[in-house]
Amino acid sequence: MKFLHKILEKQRPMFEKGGKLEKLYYLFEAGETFMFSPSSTTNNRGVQVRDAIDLKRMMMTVVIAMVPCLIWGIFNVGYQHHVAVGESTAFFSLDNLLFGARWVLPIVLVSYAAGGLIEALFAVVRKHPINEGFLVTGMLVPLIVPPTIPLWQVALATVFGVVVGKEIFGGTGMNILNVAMTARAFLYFAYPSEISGEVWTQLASEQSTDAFSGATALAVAYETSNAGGTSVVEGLTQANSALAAPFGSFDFFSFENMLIGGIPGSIGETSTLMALVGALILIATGVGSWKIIVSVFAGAFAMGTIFNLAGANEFMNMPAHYHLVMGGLAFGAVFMATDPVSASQTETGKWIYGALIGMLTVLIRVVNPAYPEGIMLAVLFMNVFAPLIDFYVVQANKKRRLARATV
Amino acid sequence: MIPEGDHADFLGWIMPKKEVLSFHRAWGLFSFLNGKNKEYVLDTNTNGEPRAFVQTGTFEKVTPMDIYPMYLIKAIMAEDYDNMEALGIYEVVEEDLALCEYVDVSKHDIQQIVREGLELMQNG
Repeated sequence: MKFLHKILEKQRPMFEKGGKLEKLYYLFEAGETFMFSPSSTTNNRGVQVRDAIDLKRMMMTVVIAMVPCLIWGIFNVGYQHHVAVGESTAFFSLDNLLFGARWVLPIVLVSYAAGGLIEALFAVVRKHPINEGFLVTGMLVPLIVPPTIPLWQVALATVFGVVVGKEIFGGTGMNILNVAMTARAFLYFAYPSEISGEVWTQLASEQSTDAFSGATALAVAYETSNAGGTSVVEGLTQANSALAAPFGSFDFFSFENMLIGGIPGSIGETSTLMALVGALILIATGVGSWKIIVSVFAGAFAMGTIFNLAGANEFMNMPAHYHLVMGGLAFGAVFMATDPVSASQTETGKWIYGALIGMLTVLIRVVNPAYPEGIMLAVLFMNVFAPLIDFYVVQANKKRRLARATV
Repeated sequence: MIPEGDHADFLGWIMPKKEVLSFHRAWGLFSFLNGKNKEYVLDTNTNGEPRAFVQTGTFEKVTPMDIYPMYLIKAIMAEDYDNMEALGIYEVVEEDLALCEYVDVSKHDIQQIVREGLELMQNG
């Protein structure tokens, strides 16, 4: 690999000050440091040895943690299609893989291309290094959109998310809102017909069977509660009862199947189990905060229990643990809420931040079902409040130290 | 003597390696396999290039004082005298935050920033 590095180094003068392509220096830098870890050494002031970690490694760890969700998502898009058109397949079959890849991979590619392009553009114009945050954003966006989404909307949403969610605040490290959630919120409010209703199953011009309804579990729960009479769990059991769950002999919308993830939904969010595998990777590597993940789940469960006690309608009566496996709560808790930049940055703050996300999610789901996916708005809302939480934690620290000080 | 680290490694940032010393488990997840008495050869390579500040929560772990290093550093960069004072600039000298500089994923010269802050307080 030495010769490759030599070739790259030969191009360097062209990009450095005075060179022909001086303006594109950071593009060159990004490309080179992507292939070769830099040969720069510590300067004569400051520490003489540095930790082996760099930002790329951290960001890549998050991407690796998302791979189980992505792979599951690809198979599930295929599985949902085949179940909807009345064919029965094994979950991990080649048919499902090919069909899923046909629809999911273009979304991933478009999201990476659009996100990378904007990141590079801003880096060149603003003369700052290309930050690897877009590696994560580019993977998060495809996992939180339905498989039927038009590709131009993916591109538009990614661009919107990166520009409005991140760049106008000053770029990576300074964004207030989670970039991927901003992108999804944009889609949700700008193109509601493509991201709500029965868009969760890619039918690809085939006809679905009569026994199939494309609604998500949350929508079914809301409809059941609205109609009154039957309990939500019963409503879930009856919905799509003719369809088979991929593993075991569970009902389609049973707790077990929602936990495993053989249900319609956004590409990466359906499987709580795979999100938990991702959580395990994030916690083991210390990249994601376990405090946030645990407190989101705890907050959601607590709010669900409070609603159980209130019991004003059937949705409130739904067992609290159902909330943990429905919709995108698990995915959001693991990959969205833990975003180190937009989350609360103090350790005490993380508990408060996470718990409030969980509680708000369930609150939005149950009380304001116009937005059945509560986690999206809850995360964005708490992103805005995270600096306030931190402010009070830091303020307490200042006061504590001031009280100790003697003159 | 610490060996000179001016070498470039192909895909050095993602290759699985055992012989690295890191405070972060994203590198050292399996470092316990090396045992406690394992000796590492460190060189002066920065192992990365300067990037935007990203909060990782490790600064607080390697600072013995009851302060928030990240907030202090940001206050210094913003030349916010009141906050520098309140966040504990009088409690530190450069070397106190040397470990922060070592573990920093964004490869900032944190000790230099602290020195600038101290000088600001002295002269400002």
